[in-house]
Amino acid sequence: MPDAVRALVGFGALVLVCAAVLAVTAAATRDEIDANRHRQFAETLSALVGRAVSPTDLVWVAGRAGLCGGGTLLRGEAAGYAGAIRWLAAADGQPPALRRVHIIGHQETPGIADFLDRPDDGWLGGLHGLDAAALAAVDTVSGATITSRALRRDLAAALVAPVPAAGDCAS
Amino acid sequence: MSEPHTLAAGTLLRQGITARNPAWAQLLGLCPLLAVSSSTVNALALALASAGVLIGSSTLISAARRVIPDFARLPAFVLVIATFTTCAMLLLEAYAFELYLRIALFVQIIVTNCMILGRAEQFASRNGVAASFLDAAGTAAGFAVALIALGVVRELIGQGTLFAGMDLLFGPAAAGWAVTLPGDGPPLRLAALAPGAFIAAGLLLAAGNALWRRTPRRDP
Repeated sequence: MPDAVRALVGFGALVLVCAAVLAVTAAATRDEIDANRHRQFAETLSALVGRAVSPTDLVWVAGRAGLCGGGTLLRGEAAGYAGAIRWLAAADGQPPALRRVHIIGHQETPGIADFLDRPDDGWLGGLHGLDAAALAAVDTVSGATITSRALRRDLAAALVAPVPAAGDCAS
Repeated sequence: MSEPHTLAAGTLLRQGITARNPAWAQLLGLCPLLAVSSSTVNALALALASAGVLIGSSTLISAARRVIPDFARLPAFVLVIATFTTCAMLLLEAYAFELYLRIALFVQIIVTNCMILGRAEQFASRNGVAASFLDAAGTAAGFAVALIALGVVRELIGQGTLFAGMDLLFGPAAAGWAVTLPGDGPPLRLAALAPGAFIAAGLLLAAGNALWRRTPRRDP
């Protein structure tokens, strides 16, 4: 067998072995990973709303979901400095005001955008209780202007959008 | 190209921990070493993940060394290392989720760790499976010793605790392993921050050099 063909076959065999190792590990861990992610999302939702919320009971329409007992959940992606800032927020009242904001994921610069990881204090904590009009007057964060402005705009736009009806509240 | 090794099994293992330690003798893997060693549990989790990837990839690369074409050896090594890194990520996310959320970033970058690629290129691709396994185990143990030593010191001085959060790795039974130093707060919070990591790593490096890298004295 020519060297080139033998090398190709050898490399192909190595690729197959790696793929098999990955497939077996992924299959063995899939259920646990799904359960962990579901649990974490439920915990995040409950922390936002202040009471137990099951993600499966929510009906999302264009990034908004009505809550049984009043209030709305909002979610979206703001265009940050280094990519999408995925956020989740709870709002209530008329006009709707933010109750709490939680950043689910971002790629902003560590150190400079650390305020995104602290939902209850600092800049994010200061957004609690603000409606869309009041949000427009909030100062951006020095050194993280693009990040904070993008998030502020996205949250304000989400607050003025129509709220869908809550899902099945009987259960 | 270096020749296949002629060292005994015990020497291969011992050298990885002492004279050829990746952290204090070769200064490899310093990014995760400094970033994750703020607590013992983080350090231990990264040490286990790195050991799994290093031992798995070295063993597989050694077994496949005769079929890996020389011109494609680096892509092949990276493929194997990336495979084991992904497996480590999946296992951590499945069975130690809270810990995964803390150190996932540094587990992902194991794939670029020079320590692992270096052992694949310098040893596993030129030696048998058993020797490569021992070499990887020794190197992994050396990295783990450095990582855990740094984690213990920084947690103790910077946070005033020891073995806190071990339940994230070993289950609820390990929650009682935590020890808290008496007194008000940690002795030196700086140790838990980034500058403390550099200072502690420097001291560790100096200690390692003093113990295992004896420079011959020059005559006056």
